[in-house]
Amino acid sequence: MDVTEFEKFLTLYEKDIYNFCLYLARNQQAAEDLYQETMLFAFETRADIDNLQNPKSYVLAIAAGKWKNSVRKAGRRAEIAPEIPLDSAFNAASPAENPTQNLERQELNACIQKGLDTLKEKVRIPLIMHYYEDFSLEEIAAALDIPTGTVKSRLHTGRKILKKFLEKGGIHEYQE
Amino acid sequence: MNIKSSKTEKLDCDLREFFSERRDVPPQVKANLHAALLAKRAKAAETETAEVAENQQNIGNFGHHKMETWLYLMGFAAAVSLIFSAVVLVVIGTWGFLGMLSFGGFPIVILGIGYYWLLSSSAASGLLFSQKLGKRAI
Repeated sequence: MDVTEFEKFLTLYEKDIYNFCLYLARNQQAAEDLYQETMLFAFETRADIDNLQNPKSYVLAIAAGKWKNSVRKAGRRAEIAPEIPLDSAFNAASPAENPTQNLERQELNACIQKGLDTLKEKVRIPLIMHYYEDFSLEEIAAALDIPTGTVKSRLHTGRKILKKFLEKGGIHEYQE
Repeated sequence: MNIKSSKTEKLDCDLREFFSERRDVPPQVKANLHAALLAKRAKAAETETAEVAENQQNIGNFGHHKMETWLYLMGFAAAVSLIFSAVVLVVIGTWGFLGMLSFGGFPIVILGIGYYWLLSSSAASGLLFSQKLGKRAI
C-alpha cells in the first residue's frame, strides 16, 4: 500500500477506527492519543496491509494491541489518577425518543458502560469488536490472533457478566 | 428458558444500540495526524536519501579496497618474478661462464641474459602498470 492508497484508506475508515479507540479508551484524550499512535504505526507498516483481506481489522488489531500495552503500563498510574469517563453525550439517547424513553436509555447506557468497565480487557475487546464493528467470531479470532473457541467463550463471559450487572443495576427488563 | 433467551436477545439489541453511536473525528485530531504523517514521510525520505548515499559510498569503498588488493598482488608477483629471474641469472650465468670456459658456453650466457631481460621487463612493466592503476584508483 503506497502513501496515496493509505490516505484513501484513512479517509474511508478514520471514523470507525477513531470511534473504536474511543470505546476502548473511554476517555477523549486517551482515545485521540491511541488513534494517532495506531494510525502512525499502520502507516509505518502499510507494506504489510497489501497482503491482507481486511485492512480495517488489521488496524483495529493494532489499536487493541496498543491499548492493552498502555493499560498494562498504566496499571498503577490508574490508581493514582483515575480515568475520566466518556462524557454522557456519547451514549445519549436518540432525540426521536420521548423524555421517558430518553431517561431509560441513558440509565441503561450508563449501566452498560459501568458493566463494560468491570470487564477485563481480554473480554471487553472482543465484545467491542463484535457489537461495534459487527465482526464475526472468525474475524475477531484472526485480528486478535486467538482461537475462535476462545473468542466465543470470551463473548459468552462478557455477556454473562453484563447481564448480571444489568440485573443488579435495577434495569427492570433484566430483572426476574 | 424463554426468559433467558429473550434476555440474551435484549442484551444483544441493547449492546448494539450502545455501540451504535459514532462520533466524527475532531478536526484538530485530523490535523495533528496529518502533520505527524507528513513528518514521518519527510523523515522516511531523509533516511532513504542517507541510506542511498551510504550505500553508494560503501560500493565506492568496496571498489577501492578491491583495487588496492589487486595492486598489492601484482606488486608482489612482480617482486617475486624479479627475485626469481635474478636467481635464474646467477645460476645460468655461472653455468654459462663455466661452460664457456670448457666448451661453447657463450650462447647459454646470451640465453640467460635474454631470459632475465624478459622476466625483469615484464615484472617492471607490471609494477609500473600497478602504480598507474593505483594512482587512478586513489
